[in-house]
Amino acid sequence: MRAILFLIRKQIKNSLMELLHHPARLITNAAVIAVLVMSLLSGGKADRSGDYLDLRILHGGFMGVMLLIGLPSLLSGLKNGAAFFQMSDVNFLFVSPISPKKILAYGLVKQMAATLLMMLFLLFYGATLSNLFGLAPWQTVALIGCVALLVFIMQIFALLIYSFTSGRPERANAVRAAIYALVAAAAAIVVVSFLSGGSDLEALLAAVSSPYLAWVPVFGWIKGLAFGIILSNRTEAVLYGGLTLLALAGGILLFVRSDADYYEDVLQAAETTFELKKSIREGRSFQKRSDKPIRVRETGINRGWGADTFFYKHLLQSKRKSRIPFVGTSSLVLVAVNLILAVFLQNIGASESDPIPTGVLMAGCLLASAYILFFFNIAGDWVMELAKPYIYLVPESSFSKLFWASLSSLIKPAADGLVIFTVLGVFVHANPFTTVLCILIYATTGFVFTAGNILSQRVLGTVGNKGLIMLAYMFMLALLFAPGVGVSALLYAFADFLPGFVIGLPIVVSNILVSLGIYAACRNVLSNAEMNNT
Amino acid sequence: MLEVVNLTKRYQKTLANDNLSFQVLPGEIAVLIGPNGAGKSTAIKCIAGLLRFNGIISVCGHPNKSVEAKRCFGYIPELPAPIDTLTVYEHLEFIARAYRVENWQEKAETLLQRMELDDKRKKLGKELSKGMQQKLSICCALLPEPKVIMLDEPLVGLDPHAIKELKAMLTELRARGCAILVSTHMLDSVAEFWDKALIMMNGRIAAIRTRAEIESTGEDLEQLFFSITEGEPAGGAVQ
Repeated sequence: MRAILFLIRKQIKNSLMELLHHPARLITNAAVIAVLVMSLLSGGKADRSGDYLDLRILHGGFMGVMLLIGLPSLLSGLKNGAAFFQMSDVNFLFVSPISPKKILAYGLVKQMAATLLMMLFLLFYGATLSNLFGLAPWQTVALIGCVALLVFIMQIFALLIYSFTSGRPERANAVRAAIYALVAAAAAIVVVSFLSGGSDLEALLAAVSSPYLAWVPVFGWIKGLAFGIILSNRTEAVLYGGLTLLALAGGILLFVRSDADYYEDVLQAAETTFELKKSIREGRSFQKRSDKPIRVRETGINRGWGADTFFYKHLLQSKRKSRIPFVGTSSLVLVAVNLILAVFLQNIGASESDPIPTGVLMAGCLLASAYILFFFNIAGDWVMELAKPYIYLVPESSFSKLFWASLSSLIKPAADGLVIFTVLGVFVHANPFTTVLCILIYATTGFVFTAGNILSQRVLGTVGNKGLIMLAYMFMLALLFAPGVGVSALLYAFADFLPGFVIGLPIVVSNILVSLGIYAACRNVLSNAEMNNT
Repeated sequence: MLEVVNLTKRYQKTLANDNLSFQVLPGEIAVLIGPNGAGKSTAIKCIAGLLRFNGIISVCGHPNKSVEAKRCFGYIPELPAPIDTLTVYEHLEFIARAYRVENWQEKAETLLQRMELDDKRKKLGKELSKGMQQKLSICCALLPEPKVIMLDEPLVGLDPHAIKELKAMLTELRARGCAILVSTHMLDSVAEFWDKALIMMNGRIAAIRTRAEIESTGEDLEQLFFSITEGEPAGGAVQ
């Protein structure tokens, strides 16, 4: 045990020392913590006498988030266990004469700490939660703490499941069936309650906050614990907290008793995590190989000569991912998200007898879509191309390679915008001009994101700290959007007699001009770029 | 010809390459060797145009990042990175189109056959094993018939047939007047065909020797390597 304690002590000490030796990282961490605390406190200062959303929405949302986070983790146990250990643990600890149980305890403690740290980032949403539902900071912390507890327990269960089912398909099927039964039980509670309650919004809210949901093993128990704490219901908190702890202790005990030779069970996950971390370190964070099979229907790029070959290659790759080029799963996800959001907003308006205007509804959906687009764009063709050597090696001018290799990243949001907002516009009966404006703003937002990536490559390409790059990149994007949004905001404030289409137009024009400007300014970026995965 | 003059590359506080200068002449196979951390990979990536650097690197008389230089340059990276969603044959098509290689199909066929990839032409990049990825990477680099070829640990992961074939290809390319630079740790693997040895240590070129120079002292490449990197006695002066 001494060796493990030494290891923990040294790891903590060295991490702190490293932080001190890298002032930039220290400042970034301090800034992140400051933002987290401010986010939490600003929510806490919200006017509590104001109107808040129905707490039953939070019940449903919390359960949904837990299932969304917990289920994939649980199901991963059927494939590769849990990532409790790193390759360094495998290489140094597993081969050492230290008891496997002590090593497991070390892994659990480390995992718990990592989970808590990871959950800290959920505190960014603390202010939103407080403002929407009127929660105090401690209530937000309690909710997030319960999510962390769920993540931790799910990882223990994943390990247990892997140990129990590894190499035994019949057991794996039984466990899979049990997990699905658990989800089906939760869904059945909601559906039955909704149908028997009159199938209206009130019934939906009652259904998603049904007290029976708290009896769904682990997921429901943790939800019961969370709401027991935030509603100061001591009996529920103790009851569900006790059940959760029993499940946790039972899981650990069962695992330790069943098989102390667990190294094989954690090895695959350790290797996968090692590969993933290596990819992230090398700037190949989004190049994890997909297990999804690709059907090769027709072969051949068939078009392109010189730099435009990059574009036709992307076109072929896009066709391989979905039948219609540029419209794929991400487009459907965005359509679904927007329709759900629209129904949600419409219902909120209807419940308050104050319908939300379709223009505002479309604007809300546009904002949410642009937020999601930011993440999709990071995994765009252009960014992926930078991680392969060909873009640097092909004998063409930097600008032509830049243009052709990023063209598909420009077309994708335009195609997505066309699909999303046409469907949404028809669904909410929006003014056609509003729909066109949303398509244009969404498409040109995509242009700015791609241009922002190019600018980031040009300006920040050599900065070592990824966290700092991300912060600087986001700051840069805010600056790029500022002119258009600023003019539109001014028009909205001082010339609200103008039609919405005209008020929104400056954003479109500014986004296009900013993107063109960046392309012109960064035309030689590939002559100066450094390949990421070096 | 590949010419490197005063190449210096610094990563923040680390000086990875310190004033390197060397040439690889047409019809010559040079090997870049050195212990781990000597700066070989950084030099390779600078030459390939993947990193910024100080100094001059010219390929066929053109700055290495120019279009003209890229047109006559082939690079086989240490870690092959095929495109997951393209087939083997489409990789070659992509290279042919991007490099504007006319009548490429016949050359592609020959390369695929020599690397025993002809029956894998419809396999996607993501379905290839590490060795097959490396073979594909070799085919892609050689398809445009470059005049300067740089290979980073080219034999790692290859099966015996591919190793034999690649060695034969390198010898043929040398006979055709290509300048070839091979970076490797495996001295045995290049023993039969190297013409010039560039030995790196601590970010610098510690010695440059031709085969004739070493053989005249009765030594071999391995002895020279250890004499320079570990201070063991050897004949000949260090540069």
